[in-house]
Amino acid sequence: MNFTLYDYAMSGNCYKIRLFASILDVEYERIAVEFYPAAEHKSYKMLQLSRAGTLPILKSGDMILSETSAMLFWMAQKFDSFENWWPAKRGADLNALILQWMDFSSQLSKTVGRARLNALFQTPVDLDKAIEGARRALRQIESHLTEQSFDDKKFLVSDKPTIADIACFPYVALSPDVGANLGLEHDGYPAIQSWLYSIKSLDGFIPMPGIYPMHDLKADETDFAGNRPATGKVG
Amino acid sequence: MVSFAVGLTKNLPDGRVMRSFVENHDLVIWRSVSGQLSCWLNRCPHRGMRLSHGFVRGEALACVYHGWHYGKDTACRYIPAHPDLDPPGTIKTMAFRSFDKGGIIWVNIDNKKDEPIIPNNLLSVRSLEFRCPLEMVEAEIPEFEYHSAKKGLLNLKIKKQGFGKWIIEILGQGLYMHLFLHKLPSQKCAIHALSNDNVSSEQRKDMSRLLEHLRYVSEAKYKVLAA
Amino acid sequence: MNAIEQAMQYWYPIGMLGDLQRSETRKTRLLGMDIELKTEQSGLISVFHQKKPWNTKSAYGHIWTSPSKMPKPLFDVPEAGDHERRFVPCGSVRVRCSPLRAVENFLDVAHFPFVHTDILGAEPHTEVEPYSVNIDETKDEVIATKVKFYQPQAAKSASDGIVTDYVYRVPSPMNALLYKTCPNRDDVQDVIAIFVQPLDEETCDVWPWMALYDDQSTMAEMIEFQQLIFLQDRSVLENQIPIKLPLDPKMEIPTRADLTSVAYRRWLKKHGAIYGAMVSSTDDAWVAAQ
Ligand code: FES
Ligand SMILES: [Fe+2]
Repeated sequence: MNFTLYDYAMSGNCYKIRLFASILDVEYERIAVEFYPAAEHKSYKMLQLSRAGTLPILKSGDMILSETSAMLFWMAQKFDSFENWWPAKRGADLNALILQWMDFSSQLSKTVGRARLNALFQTPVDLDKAIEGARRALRQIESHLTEQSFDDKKFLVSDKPTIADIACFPYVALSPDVGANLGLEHDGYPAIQSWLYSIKSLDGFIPMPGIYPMHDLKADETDFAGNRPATGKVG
Repeated sequence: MVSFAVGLTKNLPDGRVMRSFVENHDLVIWRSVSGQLSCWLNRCPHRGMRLSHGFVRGEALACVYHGWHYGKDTACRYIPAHPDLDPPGTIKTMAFRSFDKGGIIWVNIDNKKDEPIIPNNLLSVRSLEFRCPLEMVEAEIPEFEYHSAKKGLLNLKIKKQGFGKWIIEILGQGLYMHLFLHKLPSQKCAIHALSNDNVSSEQRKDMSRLLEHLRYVSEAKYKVLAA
Repeated sequence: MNAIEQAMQYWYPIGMLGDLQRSETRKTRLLGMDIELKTEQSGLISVFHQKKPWNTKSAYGHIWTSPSKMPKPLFDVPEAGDHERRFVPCGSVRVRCSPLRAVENFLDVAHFPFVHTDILGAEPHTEVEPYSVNIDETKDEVIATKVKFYQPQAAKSASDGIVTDYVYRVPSPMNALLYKTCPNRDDVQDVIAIFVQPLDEETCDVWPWMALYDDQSTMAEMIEFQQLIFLQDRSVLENQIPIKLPLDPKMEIPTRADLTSVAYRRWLKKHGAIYGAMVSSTDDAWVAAQ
């Protein structure tokens, strides 16, 4: 195995790693940790593994990572021999911008992520502040993506996706989980919608609860008029 | 006014779905793979799921809950739980007249024929949602001033074209922008903005930022008012 | 009897056994009423509404309470006494939907390929074969039997796709259980339940609970699987219009695959169990949605 991931299926942060591993087609060992209700990530045993007391945890040999940006960077370095996802040779500006959006992704976890945990499991949080911050973050990313589109760029820093897109995708996509009428549904954010669509269209994309899959069928499975599949009864 | 601007054509490519509102009607607007636009009540007749969560398959919109497919004529074409059943013609969604014109998606809820007047050579800038009522923005626009980071205070000529329709001209730069205001439920609204077509990407960014500033001032005033 | 009085006759889950700390007081809500869940130093649990105590009991991994002085007896789950099973409470998930919509969704298989894609269902295996539904008159429960569905990954412990057999039970308006093919043994069935705590007519906390024959999976894995499934449902449940469950047959269109839902709605209506329901199509919220 390439690495071990201590994981929780409902976590947007953990999903970054699962998603990137799937896109890169990298196998890994997965260990489920009971984040809720037992808060197992804060147990003595888990704190021995990672003092941060957070999920996910990526372990490779003796190396333990607890920050997802570092994990994405490590995975890109190790498994993406074409250097698409961390294009080191394409100049300082581009790399700095990637790092900037990776940092920005931690704001998304602190705002959208925390408001969402509250909405699902009533995890304590200053909810108004988290929602306000979440809305500001979504507006920032929406305006940025709008400007990117004027330069025919579909992604956060370039015309191709980078690890910055993977880092920001989960909590932007999960923001409607927080609730209706808070400015966190995607309706008011057309540039975000296009960007989410572009990421969902990537080879190797996998969904998580709260993020629908594309439900795309191969061309021959539905006829053009939207009638039942031409094959009729199947299975 | 019978036709409402609900979004920008460029924000709804073929095969995609969006949600919008006209006069408190929750709407799903979608474009088939061949490019045909439809606008329906945003509720699946089966179990009430919002159709805006659904997905386009060819010329049909499928509901994300149980996958019922509805054709462009609003009739249910396919019920996956009963693959051999021809769904009865009574299972239908409720449609409103919708069309693209001048880069805008228009919806006409009383289904009367009405052709909004709009030049057909405009370029989309963006749609922007405001968390304040439309009236707030209407009141703000005539007074609006904008300091561009690069060009300082812009010389704006602002003209009202009718209710919720404005033209903002940036004098000396050969730039003008058409704004279409769109009332949303819960004290919100949106602006759908287009500009003349011979503009650079930098100029479009400038206009996009101008709109963000308009939102900033309008929302700030609304906050004071609401408090 | 009005909707709330009818609803007050039942027991409701408000916490998970073993999750409560000694000397701790938790605040929660039931049927629109604020309540406090107190755990004494001795471990004794009590529930108060406006300083008045309510009945409590422990069952099926949870603490239950009822506002009524003489609640209807809590339904029986015989499998809870089978010590070969592993009992898995999963915590609660809050959903902004009618508690009745949450139960109805639990009774539905037709959504598996679209909402639980590649886990509980997958296209093109979407067909729902005919099955039977009846009301068990002695227990007064809705029962659906011979429900079959093709599933790519029926449970945490399943490795291949199988046709799963289901039996559904609705013993009270806001609780439902299912018995399904156990991927590891063909002589027994796994039990999965949802116990719904109605905070009000449009918000609920859902407490999934399982009694499984599974000696391979860790507790974390079993809980995660159930939470994952339920969170997928949550995205749908928060987007049904109207929020309350419509009981007028004209308001939504069922097919043969929805027989359980049809029987459930009728049974609710017969009992006047309309807390969280919309009874008629002249209701304001319904007219507004048109
Ligand atoms: S609610 Fe739309 S298909 Fe069932
Ligand atoms: Fe489900």
